[in-house]
Amino acid sequence: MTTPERRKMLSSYFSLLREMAGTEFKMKDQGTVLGFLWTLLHPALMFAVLYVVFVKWMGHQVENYGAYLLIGLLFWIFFQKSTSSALTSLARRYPIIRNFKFPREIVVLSAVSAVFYSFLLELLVLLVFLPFIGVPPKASWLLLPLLVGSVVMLSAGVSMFLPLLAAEYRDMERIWDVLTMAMFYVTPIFYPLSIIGDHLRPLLYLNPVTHILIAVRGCLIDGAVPNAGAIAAVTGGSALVFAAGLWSLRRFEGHLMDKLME
Amino acid sequence: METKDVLTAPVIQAEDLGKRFRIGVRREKESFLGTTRRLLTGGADQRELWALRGVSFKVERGEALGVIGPNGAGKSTLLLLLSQILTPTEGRCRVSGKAHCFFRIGTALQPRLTVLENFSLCSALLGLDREEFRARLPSMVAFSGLGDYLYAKYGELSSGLAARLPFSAAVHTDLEIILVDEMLMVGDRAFQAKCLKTFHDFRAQGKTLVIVSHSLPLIESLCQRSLYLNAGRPVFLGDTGEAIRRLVEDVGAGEAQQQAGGSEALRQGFGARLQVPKIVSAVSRRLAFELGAGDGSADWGEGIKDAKTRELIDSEVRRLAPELRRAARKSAAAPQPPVQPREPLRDQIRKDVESELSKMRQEMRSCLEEYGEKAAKAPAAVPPPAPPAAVPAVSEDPAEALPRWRELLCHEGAMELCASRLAALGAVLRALADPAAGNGAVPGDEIVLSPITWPWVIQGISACGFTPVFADVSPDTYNLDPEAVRRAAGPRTRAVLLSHNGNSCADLDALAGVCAEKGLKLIDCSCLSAMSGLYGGRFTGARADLGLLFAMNPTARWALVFAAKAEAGEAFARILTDEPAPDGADPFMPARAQLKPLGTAARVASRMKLVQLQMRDTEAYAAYTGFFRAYSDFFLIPKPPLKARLASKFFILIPRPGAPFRAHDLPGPVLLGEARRTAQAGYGRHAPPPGAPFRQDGELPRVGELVDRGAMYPVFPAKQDREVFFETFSRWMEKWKKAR
Repeated sequence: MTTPERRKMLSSYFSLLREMAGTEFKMKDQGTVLGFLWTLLHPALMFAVLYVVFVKWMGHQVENYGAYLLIGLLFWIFFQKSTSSALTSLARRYPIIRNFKFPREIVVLSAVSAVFYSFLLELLVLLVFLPFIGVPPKASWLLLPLLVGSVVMLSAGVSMFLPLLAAEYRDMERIWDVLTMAMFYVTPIFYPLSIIGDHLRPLLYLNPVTHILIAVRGCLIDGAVPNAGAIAAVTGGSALVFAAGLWSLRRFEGHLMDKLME
Repeated sequence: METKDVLTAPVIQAEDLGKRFRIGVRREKESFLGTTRRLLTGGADQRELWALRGVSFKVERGEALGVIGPNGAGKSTLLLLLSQILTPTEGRCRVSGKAHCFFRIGTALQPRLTVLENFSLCSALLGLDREEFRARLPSMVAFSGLGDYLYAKYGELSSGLAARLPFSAAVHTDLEIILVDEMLMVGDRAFQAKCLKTFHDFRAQGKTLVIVSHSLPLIESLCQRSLYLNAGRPVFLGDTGEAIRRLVEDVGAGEAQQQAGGSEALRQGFGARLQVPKIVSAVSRRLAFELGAGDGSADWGEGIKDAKTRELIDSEVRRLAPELRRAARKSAAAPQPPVQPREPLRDQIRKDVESELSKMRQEMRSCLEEYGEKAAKAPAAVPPPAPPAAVPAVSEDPAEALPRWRELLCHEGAMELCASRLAALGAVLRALADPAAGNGAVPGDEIVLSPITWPWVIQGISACGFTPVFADVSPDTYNLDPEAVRRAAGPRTRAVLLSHNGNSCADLDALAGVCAEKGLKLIDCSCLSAMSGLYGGRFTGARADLGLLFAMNPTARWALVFAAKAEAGEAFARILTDEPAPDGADPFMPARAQLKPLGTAARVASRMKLVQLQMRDTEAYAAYTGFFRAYSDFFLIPKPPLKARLASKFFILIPRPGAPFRAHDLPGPVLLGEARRTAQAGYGRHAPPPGAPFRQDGELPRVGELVDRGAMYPVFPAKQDREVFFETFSRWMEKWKKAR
């Protein structure tokens, strides 16, 4: 394939991705009274509840617990929402994939992108808000895009496997609900790692989201450059998961269509 | 591969293509438990179905291949395989170039996004990038005619308008291979004509087409080669004429077998699956023939083109299929019961519509009783209409037919009785060519008319060599707008043909004025049902230079032709033959009515006299006009010219564009779409046969409005019925009035 042809193909690929993500984003809060505000309201309400409940307890362990909790929540909500939205994406968009031929991962990626749009907005508000709760801007904030990139890659990678499993087993949606809820508790979102016993801590380190959270908090709150090895491992791992997801989605596409059409 | 090879190699190459689906699988297999169970028991619950098998063909660049076959033949599966949405279970399918399917393209659209956003989504799905989309948007919008609606929510468009969006998006992407699945079934006739033209253009541009359709005339006009599939197997590949012949033969055979009661295929499990579509298409063929006015001139796909009817039949088949399969298995043991003789389908539909109407009437009454206000007032049953006071003598004497009609119509010019409505149309058009009776029109000359008419009128005009020119209707009378006629009339225009749209009445004086000014002849083409109105004290028909009048029954063997000038009588005598036209001859051949039908004509004239004497119905229609005038903020209603008094059986109203509801939301015995067409014997918007020349004066927005958005209420002659209806309707309207 010649270079202009390839460029043309890539450009229409991204046009479609943008178009689908835009549709997904516009449709998400349509018809609700507060509409688009829900994007910010959901994390804010969750934050309020958790903060009120845990500030007495965790406040002693963590310096600046508000910022700690808020960062943890935002990143977690992105992971959780994007994966569950991607899980049902192919079934939701069935009328489109039944009638149009295009790379199927676009459907998954558009679901992730729609959540990513709101995530970006939340992050922006967070950055504006942080100085007011005692976290002044630092040079280390510049590392944030890299960390955001790796969490997106991780979510997208995981997301590619989920619709395949969901087409095979209808139970997948419930199972993923339970799994993400469990993960919420075994990820240091509203508690610091230090309250976990030494023998259990390595288990938590197996969770890639844990590493991302530690790194983000380090660079946003403490101004510390994160553990480069851990971040490289997480980013590399995410890239691997992404590649494997893409491969399997393309490999089992025919099977997937048969399953969906049944 | 070298460039030369790329250009000469077939663009589609299918080798031994097969696709298998698993059906009859229990629901729980989608859960962990189910899957485990299936693994343990070895998938005993599953059955395999080859939707398509052993299909091989090649399509060269620029060729159009038709795919025909009964429902369930695997046509759609084939298209899904060609568009690479499904992967074949066996065999190979090579498609070089950008291929996309037009079918169900609208499913991608989001009703809650705007038309513009949907255009952009649709184009992206069809492979356009941002830049190309921006460049092509203007022509896309122009093609679709949705310019005024760009920022409207897509879901708020009427279904006819909505269908234009995906089509025009698809037309404007450079597809090399176009797969079409029953796309022409959407939109109004003018848009369908546009689509058809587009497909011809595609062919001219050297694009490759694969067309799946039940409309055999469409396949015949576009494709040289066709593939005939039946039950997933290729039956025939080659010349389209031959493929169609085999399909029609098989369909007939299927029906015959069914009637004999002992079809071999029925005895085997899936046999039923093949039989059902066969029966259905045979039935639909007959239905189409009967709806096509029984004149044999309409192509037999015509009547069934209505997507709704087809969907109805298809859904019925889907519903019945499992049952039939089970029955088929049983029938292997038990002897088959004798097949019930079927009622003619047209009568069936008519009955359905009538029973629907009476059901609605009852519903309205019970709804009133619920309110408990007028319960005492509303009578338990509809009293039969009072018999006419004095019955004038009804004669069936053939000799009296003409004199009676003359008397009834107060007509002094020439008048003759022809053998059918088609023969009468033929006679009128030939008289138009006669210098004495008409104005010496020659083939290629034009006749202005409204596209809302019977299909045979346009076919007749084309068959006699004239070119139909479509003009818009007036918003007041729903009939030809004198101004539109003035605009549409060109140097070759010779006549204006008037049919009484919406059972309303045109401004006859104004039209006659335009005709006189431009030197045109006014032809009146009306059905007796439209004639129950008066214009200036006389029946609305028979006031033009030339004309025909025919009975409601499409198979009636008499119809009236007349001319204003008495001298035209000689012309009629020359034109008309006494011989009945032989079978298969030109159906528009002008022939005189036979003896017995003449008697019928005499009787009908007597009966019409009665209507004229009493004119009871005028009161009913006037009551409707008066009632709906109160809601003129919400509806357009017919405003006939001052000189007219109408007595129609139906009342048409069109929800205004700004109204908070649409026609199909209206309560009560409202007729829309198919029911409307059936009640009026195929009367609707029609286009000329493919390939025949025609001209159109602009976009005809009023015609579209009348056809797409109009709703039709039967006019109840009995006063109590009317009051019940008005009461219910005004209650329904109250909430909208409040909303205002």
